[in-house]
Amino acid sequence: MNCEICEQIKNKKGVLYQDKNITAMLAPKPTAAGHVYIVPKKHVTILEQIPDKIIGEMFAKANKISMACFESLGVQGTNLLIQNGLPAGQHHNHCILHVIPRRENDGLNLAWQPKQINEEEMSTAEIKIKENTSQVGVFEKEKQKPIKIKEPEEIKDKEKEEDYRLKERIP
Amino acid sequence: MEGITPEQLAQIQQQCIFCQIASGKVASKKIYEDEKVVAVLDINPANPGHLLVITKKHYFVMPQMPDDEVEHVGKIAKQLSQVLLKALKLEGTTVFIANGVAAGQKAQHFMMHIIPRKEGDEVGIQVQPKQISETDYDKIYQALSQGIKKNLGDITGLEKKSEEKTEEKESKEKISEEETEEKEIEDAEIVKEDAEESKPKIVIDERKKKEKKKTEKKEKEKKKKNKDKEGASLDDIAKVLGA
Ligand SMILES: [Zn+2]
Ligand SMILES: [Zn+2]
Repeated sequence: MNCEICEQIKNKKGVLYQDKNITAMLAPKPTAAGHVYIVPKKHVTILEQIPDKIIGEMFAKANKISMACFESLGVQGTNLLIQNGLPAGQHHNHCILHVIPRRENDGLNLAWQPKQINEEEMSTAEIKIKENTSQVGVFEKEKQKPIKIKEPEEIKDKEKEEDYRLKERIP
Repeated sequence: MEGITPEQLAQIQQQCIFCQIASGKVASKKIYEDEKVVAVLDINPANPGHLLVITKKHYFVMPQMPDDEVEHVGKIAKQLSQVLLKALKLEGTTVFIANGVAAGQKAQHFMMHIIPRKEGDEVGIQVQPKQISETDYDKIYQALSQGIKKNLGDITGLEKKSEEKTEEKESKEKISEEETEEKEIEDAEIVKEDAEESKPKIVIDERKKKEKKKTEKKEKEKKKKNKDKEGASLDDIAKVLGA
Protein backbone atom coordinates (compact mmCIF):
# COMPACT_ATOMS: atom_id res chain seq x y z
CA MET A 1 0.00 0.00 0.00
CA ASN A 2 1.36 3.36 -1.01
CA CYS A 3 0.20 5.96 1.48
CA GLU A 4 2.23 9.00 2.47
CA ILE A 5 0.20 9.44 5.64
CA CYS A 6 0.71 5.86 6.83
CA GLU A 7 4.40 6.33 5.99
CA GLN A 8 4.55 9.47 8.14
CA ILE A 9 2.75 7.77 11.01
CA LYS A 10 5.41 5.07 10.87
CA ASN A 11 8.49 7.29 10.64
CA LYS A 12 6.98 9.79 13.12
CA LYS A 13 8.16 12.84 11.15
CA GLY A 14 6.32 15.90 12.42
CA VAL A 15 4.11 13.83 14.72
CA LEU A 16 2.70 16.10 17.42
CA TYR A 17 0.39 13.71 19.19
CA GLN A 18 -0.70 10.12 19.04
CA ASP A 19 -2.77 7.65 20.98
CA LYS A 20 -4.30 4.26 20.29
CA ASN A 21 -6.50 5.38 17.37
CA ILE A 22 -5.31 8.81 16.26
CA THR A 23 -2.21 10.62 15.07
CA ALA A 24 -1.75 14.37 14.69
CA MET A 25 1.12 15.60 12.52
CA LEU A 26 2.38 18.79 10.96
CA ALA A 27 1.36 18.91 7.31
CA PRO A 28 4.48 18.36 5.18
CA LYS A 29 3.26 20.98 2.70
CA PRO A 30 1.18 23.30 4.87
CA THR A 31 -1.25 25.82 3.45
CA ALA A 32 -0.46 27.96 6.51
CA ALA A 33 2.21 27.80 9.22
CA GLY A 34 0.98 25.32 11.84
CA HIS A 35 -1.34 23.39 9.51
CA VAL A 36 -2.00 20.06 11.27
CA TYR A 37 -3.38 16.76 9.96
CA ILE A 38 -5.47 14.69 12.36
CA VAL A 39 -5.80 11.18 10.98
CA PRO A 40 -7.03 7.75 12.03
CA LYS A 41 -3.99 5.53 12.64
CA LYS A 42 -5.59 2.74 10.68
CA HIS A 43 -5.60 3.43 6.94
CA VAL A 44 -9.07 4.71 6.03
CA THR A 45 -9.83 6.60 2.83
CA ILE A 46 -13.30 8.05 3.24
CA LEU A 47 -14.85 9.82 6.23
CA GLU A 48 -17.78 7.40 6.33
CA GLN A 49 -15.43 4.45 6.80
CA ILE A 50 -14.09 5.79 10.11
CA PRO A 51 -15.73 4.15 13.15
CA ASP A 52 -18.08 6.51 15.04
CA LYS A 53 -16.01 6.43 18.20
CA ILE A 54 -12.83 7.36 16.36
CA ILE A 55 -14.30 10.22 14.34
CA GLY A 56 -15.65 11.60 17.62
CA GLU A 57 -12.19 11.39 19.18
CA MET A 58 -10.64 12.99 16.10
CA PHE A 59 -12.90 16.02 16.47
CA ALA A 60 -12.15 16.30 20.19
CA LYS A 61 -8.39 16.20 19.56
CA ALA A 62 -8.70 18.62 16.65
CA ASN A 63 -10.46 21.04 18.97
CA LYS A 64 -7.65 20.77 21.52
CA ILE A 65 -5.06 21.32 18.80
CA SER A 66 -7.06 24.26 17.55
CA MET A 67 -6.82 25.72 21.08
CA ALA A 68 -3.07 25.09 21.03
CA CYS A 69 -2.87 27.05 17.77
CA PHE A 70 -4.59 30.03 19.40
CA GLU A 71 -2.38 29.84 22.48
CA SER A 72 1.01 28.88 21.09
CA LEU A 73 0.98 30.42 17.62
CA GLY A 74 -1.08 33.47 18.54
CA VAL A 75 -3.34 33.10 15.50
CA GLN A 76 -6.71 34.87 15.18
CA GLY A 77 -8.70 31.91 13.91
CA THR A 78 -8.72 28.24 12.94
CA ASN A 79 -10.55 26.15 10.38
CA LEU A 80 -11.43 22.50 10.76
CA LEU A 81 -11.86 20.92 7.35
CA ILE A 82 -12.50 17.52 5.82
CA GLN A 83 -12.21 17.24 2.06
CA ASN A 84 -14.16 14.06 1.59
CA GLY A 85 -13.77 12.62 -1.91
CA LEU A 86 -12.07 13.83 -5.08
CA PRO A 87 -14.57 16.59 -6.00
CA ALA A 88 -14.07 18.01 -2.50
CA GLY A 89 -10.34 18.32 -3.17
CA GLN A 90 -9.12 15.27 -1.25
CA HIS A 91 -5.50 14.68 -2.23
CA HIS A 92 -4.45 11.75 -0.10
CA ASN A 93 -6.09 8.33 -0.02
CA HIS A 94 -6.04 8.58 3.78
CA CYS A 95 -8.85 10.61 5.36
CA ILE A 96 -7.58 13.82 6.98
CA LEU A 97 -9.19 16.25 9.39
CA HIS A 98 -7.30 19.49 8.77
CA VAL A 99 -6.70 22.11 11.43
CA ILE A 100 -5.65 25.28 9.62
CA PRO A 101 -4.48 28.28 11.67
CA ARG A 102 -5.79 31.58 10.30
CA ARG A 103 -4.32 35.04 10.42
CA GLU A 104 -6.00 38.20 9.29
CA ASN A 105 -5.53 38.81 5.54
CA ASP A 106 -3.61 35.55 5.12
CA GLY A 107 -4.91 35.27 1.56
CA LEU A 108 -6.23 31.72 1.95
CA ASN A 109 -9.23 30.78 -0.17
CA LEU A 110 -11.33 28.61 2.11
CA ALA A 111 -14.65 30.38 1.49
CA TRP A 112 -17.39 29.83 -1.06
CA GLN A 113 -19.90 31.95 -2.93
CA PRO A 114 -23.54 31.09 -2.22
CA LYS A 115 -25.41 29.78 -5.25
CA GLN A 116 -28.84 30.96 -6.36
CA ILE A 117 -31.01 27.92 -5.82
CA ASN A 118 -34.74 28.08 -6.44
CA GLU A 119 -37.34 27.03 -3.91
CA GLU A 120 -38.20 23.88 -5.82
CA GLU A 121 -34.61 22.65 -5.86
CA MET A 122 -34.29 23.36 -2.13
CA SER A 123 -37.46 21.39 -1.39
CA THR A 124 -36.36 18.46 -3.54
CA ALA A 125 -33.05 18.31 -1.68
CA GLU A 126 -34.88 18.58 1.64
CA ILE A 127 -37.23 15.69 0.84
CA LYS A 128 -34.46 13.45 -0.49
CA ILE A 129 -32.27 14.09 2.55
CA LYS A 130 -35.10 13.56 5.04
CA GLU A 131 -35.87 10.19 3.47
CA ASN A 132 -32.41 9.03 4.55
CA THR A 133 -32.01 10.36 8.08
CA SER A 134 -33.67 7.56 10.05
CA GLN A 135 -30.32 6.21 11.27
CA VAL A 136 -28.69 9.53 12.13
CA GLY A 137 -27.91 9.71 15.83
CA VAL A 138 -27.81 5.91 16.12
CA PHE A 139 -24.16 5.21 16.77
CA GLU A 140 -22.10 2.06 16.44
CA LYS A 141 -22.00 0.18 19.72
CA GLU A 142 -18.69 0.21 21.52
CA LYS A 143 -17.31 -2.82 23.27
CA GLN A 144 -18.99 -3.08 26.65
CA LYS A 145 -16.93 -1.93 29.54
CA PRO A 146 -16.47 -4.45 32.35
CA ILE A 147 -19.15 -3.92 34.96
CA LYS A 148 -17.77 -2.53 38.16
CA ILE A 149 -18.70 -4.84 40.97
CA LYS A 150 -19.60 -2.93 44.07
CA GLU A 151 -17.42 -3.51 47.05
CA PRO A 152 -19.33 -5.12 49.93
CA GLU A 153 -18.38 -2.09 52.00
CA GLU A 154 -20.22 0.24 49.63
CA ILE A 155 -23.34 -1.85 49.69
CA LYS A 156 -23.29 -1.96 53.45
CA ASP A 157 -22.94 1.78 53.62
CA LYS A 158 -25.85 2.25 51.27
CA GLU A 159 -27.99 -0.13 53.26
CA LYS A 160 -27.13 1.74 56.40
CA GLU A 161 -28.13 4.94 54.70
CA GLU A 162 -31.44 3.47 53.63
CA ASP A 163 -32.09 2.10 57.09
CA TYR A 164 -31.36 5.46 58.50
CA ARG A 165 -33.80 7.16 56.16
CA LEU A 166 -36.39 4.52 56.86
CA LYS A 167 -36.07 5.14 60.56
CA GLU A 168 -36.57 8.83 60.00
CA ARG A 169 -39.75 8.26 58.13
CA ILE A 170 -41.20 5.90 60.66
CA PRO A 171 -42.59 7.83 63.60
CA MET B 1 -17.83 32.27 27.90
CA GLU B 2 -15.91 33.20 30.99
CA GLY B 3 -17.09 36.30 32.76
CA ILE B 4 -20.59 36.15 31.34
CA THR B 5 -23.45 36.21 33.80
CA PRO B 6 -26.54 34.02 33.27
CA GLU B 7 -28.52 37.19 32.52
CA GLN B 8 -26.06 38.20 29.83
CA LEU B 9 -26.17 34.71 28.34
CA ALA B 10 -29.97 34.83 28.23
CA GLN B 11 -29.74 38.14 26.42
CA ILE B 12 -27.23 36.76 23.89
CA GLN B 13 -29.47 33.76 23.25
CA GLN B 14 -32.46 36.00 22.69
CA GLN B 15 -30.59 38.06 20.13
CA CYS B 16 -28.87 35.10 18.43
CA ILE B 17 -30.74 33.97 15.34
CA PHE B 18 -29.14 30.52 15.51
CA CYS B 19 -30.27 29.98 19.10
CA GLN B 20 -33.75 30.87 17.84
CA ILE B 21 -33.43 28.37 14.96
CA ALA B 22 -32.13 25.68 17.34
CA SER B 23 -35.07 26.18 19.70
CA GLY B 24 -37.56 26.32 16.84
CA LYS B 25 -38.61 29.92 17.48
CA VAL B 26 -37.41 30.85 14.01
CA ALA B 27 -38.60 28.65 11.15
CA SER B 28 -36.05 26.61 9.21
CA LYS B 29 -35.83 23.55 6.99
CA LYS B 30 -34.90 21.14 9.74
CA ILE B 31 -33.28 17.88 8.69
CA TYR B 32 -32.26 16.38 12.01
CA GLU B 33 -32.50 17.09 15.71
CA ASP B 34 -31.32 15.51 18.96
CA GLU B 35 -30.65 16.75 22.48
CA LYS B 36 -27.37 18.43 21.53
CA VAL B 37 -27.68 19.69 17.93
CA VAL B 38 -30.00 20.52 15.08
CA ALA B 39 -29.18 20.24 11.38
CA VAL B 40 -30.90 22.59 8.94
CA LEU B 41 -30.59 23.47 5.27
CA ASP B 42 -28.41 26.57 4.81
CA ILE B 43 -30.45 29.37 3.23
CA ASN B 44 -27.30 30.59 1.41
CA PRO B 45 -26.05 27.26 0.16
CA ALA B 46 -22.82 26.57 -1.72
CA ASN B 47 -24.72 23.67 -3.34
CA PRO B 48 -28.26 22.27 -2.96
CA GLY B 49 -28.43 20.21 0.24
CA HIS B 50 -25.81 22.31 2.08
CA LEU B 51 -26.36 21.57 5.78
CA LEU B 52 -25.66 23.55 8.93
CA VAL B 53 -25.19 21.69 12.17
CA ILE B 54 -25.91 24.05 15.07
CA THR B 55 -25.44 23.37 18.77
CA LYS B 56 -28.51 23.85 20.93
CA LYS B 57 -26.40 25.66 23.51
CA HIS B 58 -24.94 28.98 22.56
CA TYR B 59 -21.20 28.76 21.90
CA PHE B 60 -19.37 31.40 19.95
CA VAL B 61 -16.51 29.10 18.90
CA MET B 62 -15.69 25.41 19.15
CA PRO B 63 -12.95 25.77 21.83
CA GLN B 64 -15.74 26.75 24.28
CA MET B 65 -17.52 23.44 23.79
CA PRO B 66 -17.12 20.49 26.18
CA ASP B 67 -15.53 17.31 24.78
CA ASP B 68 -18.72 15.27 24.69
CA GLU B 69 -20.45 17.83 22.49
CA VAL B 70 -17.45 18.10 20.17
CA GLU B 71 -17.34 14.31 19.84
CA HIS B 72 -21.05 14.27 19.11
CA VAL B 73 -20.62 16.89 16.40
CA GLY B 74 -17.91 14.72 14.81
CA LYS B 75 -20.10 11.62 14.76
CA ILE B 76 -23.00 13.60 13.34
CA ALA B 77 -20.69 15.02 10.63
CA LYS B 78 -19.89 11.50 9.50
CA GLN B 79 -23.49 10.35 9.51
CA LEU B 80 -24.94 13.40 7.78
CA SER B 81 -22.18 13.30 5.19
CA GLN B 82 -23.16 9.71 4.49
CA VAL B 83 -26.82 10.72 4.24
CA LEU B 84 -25.95 13.41 1.68
CA LEU B 85 -23.83 11.03 -0.39
CA LYS B 86 -26.69 8.59 -0.59
CA ALA B 87 -29.63 10.98 -0.90
CA LEU B 88 -28.11 13.30 -3.49
CA LYS B 89 -25.89 10.72 -5.22
CA LEU B 90 -22.73 12.72 -4.62
CA GLU B 91 -19.07 11.98 -5.12
CA GLY B 92 -17.97 13.91 -2.07
CA THR B 93 -18.68 16.29 0.78
CA THR B 94 -16.84 19.15 2.46
CA VAL B 95 -17.01 19.44 6.24
CA PHE B 96 -16.08 22.94 7.38
CA ILE B 97 -15.86 24.78 10.70
CA ALA B 98 -14.61 28.33 11.20
CA ASN B 99 -13.41 29.60 14.57
CA GLY B 100 -13.03 33.36 14.52
CA VAL B 101 -13.61 36.11 11.98
CA ALA B 102 -10.13 35.61 10.51
CA ALA B 103 -11.21 32.04 9.65
CA GLY B 104 -14.31 33.26 7.85
CA GLN B 105 -16.79 32.96 10.71
CA LYS B 106 -19.78 35.18 10.06
CA ALA B 107 -22.27 34.24 12.79
CA GLN B 108 -21.97 34.63 16.56
CA HIS B 109 -22.92 30.98 17.09
CA PHE B 110 -20.85 27.83 16.48
CA MET B 111 -21.83 25.88 13.39
CA MET B 112 -20.51 23.16 11.14
CA HIS B 113 -21.11 23.17 7.39
CA ILE B 114 -21.57 19.96 5.42
CA ILE B 115 -21.48 20.80 1.73
CA PRO B 116 -22.50 18.35 -1.00
CA ARG B 117 -19.78 18.15 -3.66
CA LYS B 118 -19.78 17.13 -7.30
CA GLU B 119 -17.11 17.29 -9.97
CA GLY B 120 -16.76 20.81 -11.36
CA ASP B 121 -19.21 22.45 -8.94
CA GLU B 122 -16.95 25.49 -8.52
CA VAL B 123 -17.45 25.80 -4.79
CA GLY B 124 -13.93 27.01 -4.12
CA ILE B 125 -12.34 26.07 -0.76
CA GLN B 126 -8.84 25.38 -1.95
CA VAL B 127 -6.09 24.15 0.30
CA GLN B 128 -3.02 25.26 -1.63
CA PRO B 129 0.11 23.51 -0.39
CA LYS B 130 3.09 25.76 0.26
CA GLN B 131 6.73 24.97 0.65
CA ILE B 132 8.13 25.66 4.09
CA SER B 133 11.77 25.86 5.13
CA GLU B 134 13.18 23.30 7.58
CA THR B 135 13.86 26.01 10.15
CA ASP B 136 10.32 27.37 10.00
CA TYR B 137 8.97 23.82 10.19
CA ASP B 138 11.07 23.11 13.28
CA LYS B 139 10.11 26.40 14.92
CA ILE B 140 6.39 25.73 14.42
CA TYR B 141 6.83 22.15 15.56
CA GLN B 142 8.46 23.26 18.82
CA ALA B 143 5.86 25.94 19.54
CA LEU B 144 2.89 23.73 18.74
CA SER B 145 4.28 20.75 20.65
CA GLN B 146 4.34 22.88 23.80
CA GLY B 147 0.75 23.99 23.31
CA ILE B 148 -0.46 20.49 22.55
CA LYS B 149 1.31 19.07 25.59
CA LYS B 150 -0.55 21.60 27.69
CA ASN B 151 -3.93 20.80 26.11
CA LEU B 152 -3.61 17.07 25.52
CA GLY B 153 -0.89 15.88 27.85
CA ASP B 154 2.41 14.31 26.84
CA ILE B 155 1.32 11.08 25.24
CA THR B 156 3.33 11.08 22.04
CA GLY B 157 4.45 7.59 21.16
CA LEU B 158 3.19 5.88 24.28
CA GLU B 159 1.01 3.36 22.46
CA LYS B 160 1.53 -0.28 23.31
CA LYS B 161 3.57 -2.19 20.76
CA SER B 162 1.93 -5.53 21.54
CA GLU B 163 -1.50 -4.27 20.56
CA GLU B 164 -0.33 -3.26 17.11
CA LYS B 165 1.20 -6.64 16.52
CA THR B 166 -2.01 -8.51 17.28
CA GLU B 167 -3.95 -6.34 14.89
CA GLU B 168 -1.45 -6.97 12.11
CA LYS B 169 -1.58 -10.69 12.71
CA GLU B 170 -5.35 -10.69 12.59
CA SER B 171 -5.53 -8.96 9.24
CA LYS B 172 -2.92 -11.30 7.79
CA GLU B 173 -4.92 -14.31 8.87
CA LYS B 174 -8.02 -12.90 7.24
CA ILE B 175 -6.25 -12.48 3.90
CA SER B 176 -4.92 -16.03 3.85
CA GLU B 177 -8.39 -17.34 4.62
CA GLU B 178 -9.83 -15.54 1.62
CA GLU B 179 -7.08 -16.85 -0.63
CA THR B 180 -7.68 -20.48 0.27
CA GLU B 181 -11.35 -20.08 -0.43
CA GLU B 182 -10.67 -18.73 -3.90
CA LYS B 183 -8.29 -21.56 -4.69
CA GLU B 184 -10.78 -24.17 -3.64
CA ILE B 185 -13.38 -22.78 -6.04
CA GLU B 186 -10.87 -22.79 -8.89
CA ASP B 187 -9.85 -26.37 -8.26
CA ALA B 188 -13.45 -27.47 -8.25
CA GLU B 189 -14.03 -25.93 -11.65
CA ILE B 190 -11.00 -27.51 -13.24
CA VAL B 191 -12.22 -30.92 -12.15
CA LYS B 192 -15.58 -30.23 -13.69
CA GLU B 193 -14.03 -29.21 -16.99
CA ASP B 194 -11.91 -32.36 -17.14
CA ALA B 195 -15.00 -34.45 -16.68
CA GLU B 196 -16.75 -32.75 -19.57
CA GLU B 197 -13.97 -33.80 -22.02
CA SER B 198 -14.59 -30.90 -24.38
CA LYS B 199 -12.21 -29.89 -27.17
CA PRO B 200 -9.17 -28.11 -25.75
CA LYS B 201 -9.81 -24.78 -27.51
CA ILE B 202 -13.35 -24.58 -26.30
CA VAL B 203 -12.26 -25.46 -22.84
CA ILE B 204 -9.97 -22.47 -22.81
CA ASP B 205 -12.70 -20.19 -24.14
CA GLU B 206 -15.19 -21.58 -21.68
CA ARG B 207 -12.73 -21.11 -18.90
CA LYS B 208 -12.05 -17.54 -19.87
CA LYS B 209 -15.76 -16.85 -19.96
CA LYS B 210 -16.23 -18.51 -16.62
CA GLU B 211 -13.38 -16.57 -15.14
CA LYS B 212 -14.81 -13.33 -16.47
CA LYS B 213 -18.20 -14.19 -15.10
CA LYS B 214 -16.65 -15.09 -11.81
CA THR B 215 -14.83 -11.79 -11.43
CA GLU B 216 -17.93 -9.91 -12.53
CA LYS B 217 -20.00 -11.75 -10.01
CA LYS B 218 -17.46 -11.15 -7.31
CA GLU B 219 -17.37 -7.44 -8.01
CA LYS B 220 -21.11 -7.26 -8.03
CA GLU B 221 -21.27 -9.04 -4.72
CA LYS B 222 -18.63 -6.78 -3.32
CA LYS B 223 -20.53 -3.72 -4.48
CA LYS B 224 -23.78 -5.05 -3.12
CA LYS B 225 -22.20 -5.82 0.20
CA ASN B 226 -20.87 -2.31 0.37
CA LYS B 227 -24.16 -0.79 -0.64
CA ASP B 228 -26.02 -2.76 1.98
CA LYS B 229 -23.57 -1.73 4.60
CA GLU B 230 -22.68 1.82 3.68
CA GLY B 231 -25.57 3.00 1.57
CA ALA B 232 -23.70 5.20 -0.92
CA SER B 233 -21.02 3.93 -3.26
CA LEU B 234 -18.19 4.65 -0.83
CA ASP B 235 -16.12 2.08 -2.60
CA ASP B 236 -16.22 4.07 -5.80
CA ILE B 237 -15.42 7.28 -3.98
CA ALA B 238 -12.48 5.62 -2.31
CA LYS B 239 -11.35 3.93 -5.54
CA VAL B 240 -10.83 7.16 -7.46
CA LEU B 241 -8.44 8.20 -4.72
CA GLY B 242 -6.42 5.09 -5.25
CA ALA B 243 -7.39 3.39 -2.01
ZN1 LIG C 1 -2.82 5.51 4.93
ZN1 LIG D 1 -26.70 31.35 19.71
